[in-house]
Amino acid sequence: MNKKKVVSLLLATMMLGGVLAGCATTAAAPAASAEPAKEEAAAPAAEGEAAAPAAEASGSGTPGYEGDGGEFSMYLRSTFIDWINDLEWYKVAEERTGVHVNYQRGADEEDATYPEIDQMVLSGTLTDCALAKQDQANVYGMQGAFYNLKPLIEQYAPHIQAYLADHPDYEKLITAEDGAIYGLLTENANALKSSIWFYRADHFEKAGVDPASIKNVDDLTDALRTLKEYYKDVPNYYPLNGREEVFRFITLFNCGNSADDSGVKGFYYNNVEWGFDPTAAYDMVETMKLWYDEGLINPEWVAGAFSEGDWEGAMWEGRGSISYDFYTRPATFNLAGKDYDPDYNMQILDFIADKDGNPVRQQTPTLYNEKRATVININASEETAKDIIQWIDYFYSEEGQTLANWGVEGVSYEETPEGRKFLVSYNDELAKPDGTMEWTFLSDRFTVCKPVEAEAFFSFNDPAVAEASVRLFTEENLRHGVNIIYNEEEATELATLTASLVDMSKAGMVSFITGKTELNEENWQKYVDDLKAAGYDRVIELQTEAYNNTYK
Amino acid sequence: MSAKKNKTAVQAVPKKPLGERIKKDIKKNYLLYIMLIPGLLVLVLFKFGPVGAMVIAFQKFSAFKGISGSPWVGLDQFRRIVKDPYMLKLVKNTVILAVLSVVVVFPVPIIFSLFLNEVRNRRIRSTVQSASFLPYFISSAVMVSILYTLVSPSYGLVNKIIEFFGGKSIFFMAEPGWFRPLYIILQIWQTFGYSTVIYIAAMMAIDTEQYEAADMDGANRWQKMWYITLPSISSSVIVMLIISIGNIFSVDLDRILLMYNSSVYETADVIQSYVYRIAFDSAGFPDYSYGTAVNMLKSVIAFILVIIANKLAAKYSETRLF
Repeated sequence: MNKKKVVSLLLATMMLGGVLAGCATTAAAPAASAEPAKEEAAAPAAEGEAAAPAAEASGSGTPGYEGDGGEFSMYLRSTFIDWINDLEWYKVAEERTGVHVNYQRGADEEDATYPEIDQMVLSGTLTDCALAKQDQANVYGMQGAFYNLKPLIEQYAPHIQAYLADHPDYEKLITAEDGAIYGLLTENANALKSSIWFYRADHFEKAGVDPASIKNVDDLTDALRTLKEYYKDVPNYYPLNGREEVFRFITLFNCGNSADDSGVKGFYYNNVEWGFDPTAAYDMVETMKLWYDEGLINPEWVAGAFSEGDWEGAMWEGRGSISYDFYTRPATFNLAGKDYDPDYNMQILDFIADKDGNPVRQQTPTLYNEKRATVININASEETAKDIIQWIDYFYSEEGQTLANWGVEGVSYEETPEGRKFLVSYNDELAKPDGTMEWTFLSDRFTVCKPVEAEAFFSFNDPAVAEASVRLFTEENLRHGVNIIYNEEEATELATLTASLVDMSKAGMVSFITGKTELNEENWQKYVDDLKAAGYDRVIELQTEAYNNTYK
Repeated sequence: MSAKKNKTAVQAVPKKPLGERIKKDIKKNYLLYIMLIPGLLVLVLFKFGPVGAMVIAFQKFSAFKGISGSPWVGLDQFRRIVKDPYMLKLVKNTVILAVLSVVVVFPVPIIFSLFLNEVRNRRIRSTVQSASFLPYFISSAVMVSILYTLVSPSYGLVNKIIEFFGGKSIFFMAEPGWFRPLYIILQIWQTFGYSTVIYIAAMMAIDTEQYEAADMDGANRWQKMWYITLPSISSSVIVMLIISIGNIFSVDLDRILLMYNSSVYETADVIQSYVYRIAFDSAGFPDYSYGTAVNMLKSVIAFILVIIANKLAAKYSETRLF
């Protein structure tokens, strides 16, 4: 065989090998690419070392823990893994229980992880457990993709069992049509709070606006006008500023969604916190148009083209004074605010009453997060499934909850006659760079499926935010979202209908606000009719049907 | 009877059976065929294989059950398309964008390469050609970011110029009417250099004697361009046109999603963005079957257009793609 032939055959073989290697599916891939939960955490911070005595009782014998250690893999949003890797209390939990979770990194964005789970289910490469949507848990679970957790809980998880007994609504919510439980939903810390109003106190003082004078929408508009007039020479200054979703004022104008025995209004399916009723939004659109016309609200935000980074820049650089956003944001702005302006001072405003002066209850997400269902892959061994359920069960025990919500006594918290107090500071811990071990207790970030303790959740905060949380997030001020169970047909039809309907309704409202469509009764009626023709009534019908099936 | 005999005799004489001919050819060129195997495998696995997976358009597909286990629903998904209230708007937006892509984008590199070919300084010509090719390597995300920066109503250069001349700032990214022009401008910017390379390569192959003869006949540059250069590259132009028509519905989804916001929904929502929302960005349970059915319909229309374009090209210019 001559040299050319040898080279040709060699090249063809290599290319063929490359193609075949590219086609190969490796069932072992998750394990191979799985990331141990912070191996580098072998060099713990001083506090971590102080917690070491707790590790002596690892595995069986640990109070609250029924298992004897183990190791399993879990697919999770990569951001969650990064946060988990830095958590001191999580490391203590692994030491105490002898459980080690090999995390497989998912997409950065939570919503992007669900299609990845679909693909892993399809290709048979799903990790031992994963965080899925409840829809996925139930649909794939009933098809045989996931373990029925019910017998596992009965046999191995007494604390979860007790929780189910205490929370029958929860058990009903997570029970699929065939009576099995395929996914354990985590309690939603975000349901304990809503977004809040906050403002540049230094701007208010200079412009002569008294924050206490802002009681209702008209007061807010007056304050915005005063601020605009005072800062009229600042280029691109808009007193009311925000990021991404602009329709945040729905509760002020009574056009938010709702679900109760009288029916379901507005977009509720997968949109509990910010879902709105476009057919009732005329007043909101009218007021927002007024703000828009007078330059009181950022037009780029109204257009939906103002990102989080744009908003932060505007609020730091003095191109905005008031926002309605996540409750820890004021503290975040203050942390870097002085770098931009020595007078920088972001403060929290009380809730504003509606147009008629009536108190407004702020909508919260649902009590259980339907996008965070822990599922166990049917291909995991029974021993692994037992290890997983016992690991979760630990966090439903008193000891596990104390560890996850408060940390280690004498290290991160202390018992006082007034109750537990954190020994660690929110601002100090949050200021640590990424990759550094820290004592943080931000229960809105997923770690393990577990209950949330409101007192600990609010206490671990910037002092001003902690104070405002206790004052503002009362039952009188909040209206909790309701978990509704949708069957597969309802979920599929709603997902398809809302895929365009929500965007269509927002686009219509933006068009009125920006003046592209004249806002009058006739055009508004046409807008509502168009929405109905495009399936809005069907959305309401499906949601109401599902609500009735859930609660009646 | 005799006619039939004659016919059989005629058929039998000139050619051996196809199988035998292939066998002989393989034996003769077996090394070439071995070299072909990896390419064929790639073609079958990654091109033909996924096309086969489109059968889920006729199923109620479950990712867990797979294609073999999911129930068949016949044409149910396609019936849903007909009843879908958004479909008309989506098709309209997609077709307008697609037609603009062909009508506006397609001629630009031809004109550019014709002019570039007239540049006599070789160094300038190659530098300009390379520079025009560079945007092809810029990602859609970076490209849209640059666009945002340029047309921002707060600090964008374009609006500063408009204001300098006494005009009023325009929020380009939030104007439904500006979505399509901006999309097309980005399309031209990104792809015209790539097509130019192909046309310039075709121009390089033109026999210089034709230009010398034209010079002797007293033809000016425009006439040479029109009567020699353009007809000489017509084959390349036709092939590129058929490819463009084949891709007529293949809008750049990345670019659209990055440019998409509530304000431009009216003009920016196209079949692909709808399919993406249904199958991969679903608020609830993803409907892969319906998404595939919508996409399949789009592919079938594009396929028919390619066949028609190919036939027309063969009829009027004696050039065809296949």
